Amino acid sequence: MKRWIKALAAILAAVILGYVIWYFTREEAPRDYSTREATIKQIESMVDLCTLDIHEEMAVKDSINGKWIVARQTIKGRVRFDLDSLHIEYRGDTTFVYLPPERVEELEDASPQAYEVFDSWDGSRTVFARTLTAAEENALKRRWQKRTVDRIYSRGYVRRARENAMASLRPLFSAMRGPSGAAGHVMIVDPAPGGYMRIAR
Amino acid sequence: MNKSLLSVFFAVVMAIVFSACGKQVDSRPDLTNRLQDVGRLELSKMTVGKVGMISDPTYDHARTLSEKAEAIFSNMKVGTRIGVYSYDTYILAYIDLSQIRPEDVEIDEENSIARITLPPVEIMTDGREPQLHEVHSRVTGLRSSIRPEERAKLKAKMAAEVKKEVAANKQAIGEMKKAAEEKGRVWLTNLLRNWGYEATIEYRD
Repeated sequence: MKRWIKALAAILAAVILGYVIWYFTREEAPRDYSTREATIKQIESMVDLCTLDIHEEMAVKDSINGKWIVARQTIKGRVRFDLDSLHIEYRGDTTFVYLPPERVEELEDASPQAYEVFDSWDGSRTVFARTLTAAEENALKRRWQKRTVDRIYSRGYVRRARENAMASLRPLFSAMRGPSGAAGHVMIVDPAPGGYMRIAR
Repeated sequence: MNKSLLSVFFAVVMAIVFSACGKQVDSRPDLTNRLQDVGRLELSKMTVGKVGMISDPTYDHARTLSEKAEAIFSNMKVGTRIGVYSYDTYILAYIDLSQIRPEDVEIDEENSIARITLPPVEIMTDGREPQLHEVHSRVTGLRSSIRPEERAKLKAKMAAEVKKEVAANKQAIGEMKKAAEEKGRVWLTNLLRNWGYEATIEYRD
């Protein structure tokens, strides 16, 4: 009888030991990633002229609060003009059409592989290491977004986008009639060829 | 003789100058080319929200034997580990005006009426929010915090589903196309009115 109890205890101890080893040595258990069906939040109308598309894949290594991340992100940058907010001015028989401020937008590509994290670690602590929180990761992504937008300006992409917009709009608006309904001269003006945001900065 | 030749030359020069001036204020422009030059005109945007959750596997949802074992082991762990996240994806409806063909533009010069058949509204994904918003997070006991690697994997799964779900949502796509068609119609009608035409705008199937 005692032998049976000893055998049972040994088996139980082995199971517990096995579980403890498994628990501490394995990666975090494969998570259950559950989702809810996508919802349509809003449909809005606009008239946007998009004159530049930028597709970029970047590898980043960055830190916040002593926590580091190495990731790869595919981004889509676009330079747009809101044609609903075109400023039109009449002086005598001449119509002036002003190119509106550009909208530089940087989004993550919508494909599943657009964002991948290779590594993340706490650079300041080895014991009781902290994990990069969602808020910190978002702050880092905002920082990367700002850098990309700055790069779009510094590489002259906005200037080119504004030139493209002028080339598209010139033939479209040069046939406009003046306030009296009679055909007159139309001037298409770009008040900020280098970009509005550059001036604002 | 010389005097008459000079006057003819002068008359020809004046005719050229005036005809050139006349072209600058051409009130009957070549509509097709002018519209083609615009290219892509984005007319409506749809914001699609998606919510996803990282949690321990539950026994009820487990299908395979290993998943069931995983669920049992997870239940034995001390504490809770759950994170709920969301992000938006943007879908665009646009018309590519470079696809306008000469036969799509009919002009009745006498009555100043333009009938234009625009290319069909097309759909494209603009992109998604880079940020993943944390709606809720609860990590207690001896459980480890949710890592960026896990959030990235969740986002990848969510993105794959968004693509399928949006494509399957014919009603939403239809509404977005309708909004785009209406906006395009109003905008082009106003533009052509400025050119001196009363416009009728249709869309190609």
